[in-house]
Parts: sequence; structure tokens; C-alpha cells
Amino acid sequence: MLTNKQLSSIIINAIVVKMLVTFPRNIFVYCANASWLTAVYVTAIAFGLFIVIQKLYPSKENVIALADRIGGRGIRIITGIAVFAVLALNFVSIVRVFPAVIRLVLLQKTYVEIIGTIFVLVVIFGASCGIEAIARVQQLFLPVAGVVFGAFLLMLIPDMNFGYLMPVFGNGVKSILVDGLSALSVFADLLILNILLPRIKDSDTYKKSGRKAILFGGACAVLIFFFYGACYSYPASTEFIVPVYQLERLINLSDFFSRLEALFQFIWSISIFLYSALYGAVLAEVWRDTFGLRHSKPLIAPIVIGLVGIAVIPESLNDLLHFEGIINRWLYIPAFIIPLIIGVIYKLFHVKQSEKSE
Amino acid sequence: MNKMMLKIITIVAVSLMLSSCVGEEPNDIGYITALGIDKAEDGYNYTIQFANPTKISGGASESGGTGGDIVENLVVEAPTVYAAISHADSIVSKDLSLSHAKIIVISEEIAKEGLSEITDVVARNNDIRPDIYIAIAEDAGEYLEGVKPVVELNPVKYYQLTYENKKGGPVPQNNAGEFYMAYTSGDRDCALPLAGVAGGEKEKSDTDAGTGEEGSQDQSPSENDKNKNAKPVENGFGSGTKNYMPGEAGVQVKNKSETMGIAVFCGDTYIGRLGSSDADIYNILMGEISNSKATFYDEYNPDTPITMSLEEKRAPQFEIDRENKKVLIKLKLEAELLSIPKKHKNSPAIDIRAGEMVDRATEDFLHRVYNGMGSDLLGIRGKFKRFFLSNQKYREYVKTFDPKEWQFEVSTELRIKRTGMTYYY
Repeated sequence: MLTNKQLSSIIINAIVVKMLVTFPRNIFVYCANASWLTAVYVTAIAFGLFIVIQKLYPSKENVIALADRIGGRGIRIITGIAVFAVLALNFVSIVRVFPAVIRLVLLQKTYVEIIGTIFVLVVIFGASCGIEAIARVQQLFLPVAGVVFGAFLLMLIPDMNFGYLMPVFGNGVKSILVDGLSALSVFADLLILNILLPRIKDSDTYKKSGRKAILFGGACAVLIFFFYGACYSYPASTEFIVPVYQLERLINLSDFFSRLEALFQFIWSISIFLYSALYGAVLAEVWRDTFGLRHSKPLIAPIVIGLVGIAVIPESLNDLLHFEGIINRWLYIPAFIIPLIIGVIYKLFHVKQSEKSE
Repeated sequence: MNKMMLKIITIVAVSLMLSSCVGEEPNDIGYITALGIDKAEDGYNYTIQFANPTKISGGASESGGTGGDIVENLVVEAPTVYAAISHADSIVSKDLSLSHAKIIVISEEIAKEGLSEITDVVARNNDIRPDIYIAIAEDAGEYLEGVKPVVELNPVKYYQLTYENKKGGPVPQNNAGEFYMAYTSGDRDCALPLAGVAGGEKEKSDTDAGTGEEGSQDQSPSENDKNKNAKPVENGFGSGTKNYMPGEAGVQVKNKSETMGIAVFCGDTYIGRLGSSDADIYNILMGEISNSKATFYDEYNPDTPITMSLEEKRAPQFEIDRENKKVLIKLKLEAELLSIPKKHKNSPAIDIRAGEMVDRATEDFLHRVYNGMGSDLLGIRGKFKRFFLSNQKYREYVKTFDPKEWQFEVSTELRIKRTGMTYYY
């Protein structure tokens, strides 16, 4: 069983990892220097949606289990495939972007194919260790990452210019309220929390850890957007693929500590490995539950390799980022709608059944 | 037992992988310290200056080199910087790397056409640090050839100490990152340091140069002539000093390179140059001076200048009247008297008069830059951002912004501390 701390650790990490790679740029394209306001706005929406969704789910039953209870095998398979697709699309760009970033920052002379292969092997190995093992490591690692993240932000203060955050509404109120909704995709990982429901002791743990994850993850997102917006003026802020890496490059403590990005990337890499291993394990479990299989471990390698196959379809990294931008623009809809619809139908179904039995 | 063996094999395998550099050893890399870009008939002339590790103190020679020995220059004609480095790689045995490059010197001819392409390369290149300096010179290659540090045996340190003057000094404190940010955001126009060479001077022997007398006054006649071109400052602030352009100060012997003055930009285009005293004023207006020495004219003692150490107590404050296009700049400076004639110790209200001299000097500077050159160096248009709610509305306003229409008034509050070991009353 996963504890409250373990559960919140893995969901906070899942939310923050997206912010460490390419996600912030997509939001800056729409919301410009007001991206941090957008992050505040979508955090509030995500919190509200989670409050609604968590009320719909009974203890220890996730969206796939409820789909099965509602409509049997057929609905379960349709729901399972939809959930799998949402999670796979959410994760697929990391498989290609992460090795490219590592090559750029840490291992410039190493072939990206070698880094990618090692990454995939580690993900398969990590996922095979199981969700509990990943959660335990995550619980230990998160405070370390938190301290490094805090130090990282502190070191950026001399480079901040609050004038860059003006005009306060960036590209306009509409861009925040309508286009900014796509930033809800950063909370798409809350679907994992739902999938993990059978591993959670009681619904109280589910509720507490979900709220904590949204608030901490949202706060990290707001801080990253705020600092990036205050260090890089708009439209220059839309030109860099990995905004957090650009922020790291600004840090210059002295002649001997002028390239701290390698240290930061090392820490973020551990976060990304844990995130990827979690995704490998969760995707395999979703597949198992969808098709009623007995084991999930044998599925991990084929699923991860399959995702690598999808990730290399776009010809260039730029094409992949364009594809990712489109995904992130719409992903939040199925990520929140699927558990919401299944939960509402289940509630109605459950009420009808109780009325019949009475 | 099997598990133990697996652990041992894993530890040994990981240890072997972590034991040394994979790929290129640092000794195989040639570190470019500076890059000069001049116009050529077809493309550009790139002067690639790289460190000579055997001459740098602690290198193979242990004792280090002398003068210009610590760097080597190579001139390559190429269409882009990467093509130039690739070409140079086939000439130099080491693999050239930009990861320690500290400065890019660009010729005025190129700067007049715009620097956006060059700064884009800097911003997008992963090797080059965002805090690399950009300087403008009449002839970039000549400047780099003239760089022969005498008391500094690390070329990167030489550029760092020259261009990163924490006290303000005779050059603007802007680097490539700031320039890129200024022109892409359109919030302000930028100023970059000017570099140049003291020309026509006979070489001094290596033996003399090796003594480390960087400040020697042994000038050639031609250098003295050039020195005479500089005009003395007449507005009270910086009294008696000359408003030098690079190459005019001529106080170095072995090291002919000079860095002083401002290259003024409008967007990414170089539009004019200002002298070393103007750079002092610019640094005051940008809030970037501390313990900077300034000389003042005192009407009660016209023959003897008064020197003060200036410090900015607060960042300059801007009160902007958008309708009448007027700006009131409030400066708060604190000074310490460094030299004052004994007979004028009780010179009344020197604080007020010194403040007024700063007012006059800054207003004169702003008049020349804004009304004369049409450059928004202080970023007045960027300060309007807070009056707008969206970027679109702000951009529409910026299109109508003309620096030449703006008037400036400066109000300086200068307080003299009168601390130190000498009694002044």
C-alpha cells in the first residue's frame, strides 16, 4: 500500500518534471509574460476538478474498475484504451526530448542513440522494480530535489527584472482564460493518482495526497513561470526549447562555479528517470487491467519500446515539439473528462442500483 | 554468492566507466578566448584568438609567457563563425572550442548593419555563455592583435577584469545576454563597450614589457597626437579629464589595446559613439557605479579639481510624464572627498554644487543621446509597460515612441560623507 507521503511525492514529481523540460515554452507562446498568472489560474481549476472527481470514486476502485462495473468488458476496454492513450501521449515526448537535452548539457560527445538506449533500459529496469519501490525512492529523493530547486531559484534572483513581467496580462485576458486552459495539461498526471487507487489504503489518503500534489506542483509551476518570465523578456522567452535549462545558464556564482547547469541537470535527470519508470509501470498496469491479464511486468519492455517507436516518428526534434505542443493543447480535456464521466455515470448507476435494491 | 558476485561486477563495471574522460581530453582542446569579426570582400574576416596553454602561468613552461605570448591570433575568411572555426581547426592541431570565449569584438562597419544575426548565434550556441562580452571596434582584428596583456597571464581573466568593472568605469556594463534581451524585447536600446588600439607606436623590447609596467608613460609622438584629439569635459563633472575614445588615451606601452567609451545602438544597429566620461554618466544613470572616482570643478577654486569617490545609494528613480513627454530622474549619490585643496576646506555648499554638476552632465548626456542620436538607452519605453494591460496595446504605443521628442530633467541629491582620516572643518 502506498502512503500519503509516497503518493504525493510521485504526483508532485510527475507534475514538476513536465515543467523541467519543454512544457513552459508552449505556455509562453500563448500567455507570454502572464504565464505565471495562467499557472495560478489552472492550479485553481485543477484543484476544483479534483475535489469533484475524488467525491465520485469509492475506495480502492479506479476509473477502469468503475468502467467495468458500469458496462462490463466492452466499456472497460474502451475506457482502458483511452486512459492508456492519454498517459502514453503525455509521456511520449520525454522519451525523445530527455536524451537530447542530456546530450546537449552533460554528454556532448556521446551519441544520442546511446543515451536514449541507456535511458530506455533504465526505465524498463525501474518500472520492473514496481510502483512501491519507485514511490519509496521518490519519497527519499523529493526533499533533496526540493532543496536544490529552492537554491536554484535563490541563485536566479540577481538576474530577475520585474519589468519583464509587465504588461501584467501578457497577451491579454482572453489568452490567459481561454488559451491558458491548455496549461491544465500539466495536471494530466493526476490520472495516475486515479489509476493507483487500488494501491491506496483509503479514500482519505487519496484526497489528501491529491490536494497536496496539486498545491505543491502548482506552486512549483507558478515559480518556474514567474522566474523564467522575470529573467527572459517576451518574446525572447518563446525562443528556447528548455526554459529551465536557459535559467540554469544564467547562474554564475564565481569563476569556479559558472556552469552549474550540469549539476542541476543531474538532479533533474534523477527526477525524470523516476517519472519515466513510474510511467512504464503504470502504463503496463493499465494495459493489464484493460485486457484482464494476470501480470504486468512482461508488458513493460514492449510498451516502453513501442513508445520509443512513436517518439522517433517525427523527423526532427522540432517536429516532435510541434506535435507535443498540439498534444498539450488538448490533453487536459480527456485527462479530466474520462475520470469525471466514468465517475458521474457510476454514481448515477450506483444510485439506481441502490433504489432497486430498496 | 551469486548476488555478491553480481554486486562486485556491477561496482567494478561502474568504477571503470567513471575513471577518466571519455572522448576528448582537455589537453586536446584549443580554447578560443576572443573572436573578432570584420567585413571581408566576400563574407567576413574572423580573427580567432586562442589561449596558448604552454605560456599561461602554470602551463608547460611553469613561469608563464610574456606580453602577447599567452594568446595566438588566426585570421580566417568565412561566411559564418562555425565555418571559420571549422577552417581554423584544420590549421591548428587542437580542436577549437568556444566554451571559454570571453569576448566577441565586432567591427563598426558590421555593427552599423545590425548585430541581430551575430547575437542570435550567441544566444543559440550552447558552448558560448550568455554573459560573454561584445565590444565594438573600428577594426576588430587589429584590436585583438593589439591585446598583449602584461600583468595578466590568463587571457580570459584579462578580458574579465577589463570589461567587468564592478565600480562602473569608462565602459558600459552590458554583455551579449543583455544586448540580446534589449533588442528582442524592444524595451530599450543598448550600449556596448568600445574597443580600440593606440596606433603608430614603436614596439618596446620584450625585456621591458616583461617587467609588468602596464601603466608606463613612455608614449610615442603619434600616440600623444592622438591623445590631444580627446576633448576635455566642460560641464563641471569630470573636470579636467578628457572624454577619451578608444585609442586616444595612449597610456599603455606593450599592450596597445584600449577599452573605453560607448557604442550607442538603436535596436540592433550601431548609430554612434560616445567617450569615456559619457560612459561614467551612463553607468550612473543605469545605477551601476560604486566607489567610482569622479573629479569636480569648484568655482571657488577653479585651478584645482576636487576628487570624490561616488557611490549610488539608491537605484535612479524615474518620474514619467507621458502626456508632455518629460522625464524627471532622481539620483541619490553619496560621495567621499578624496582630494580637496586645504585652503578650500570650508568651501560652502560643495555638496549642492557637485550635485548640480551631475545634473548638468547627465542632462547634457541625455540630450545628446535622446534628442541627437534618437536612442532610448535608459529604456523609457520599457518603463511604460506597467501602464498597459496587454502586450498588444503596449506594442501599438511603442510604435509611436520617438526618443527625440523627450525632455529630461535630472535632480541629484549628493551627500558628502566627510569620513576618513583627515579633518575637513
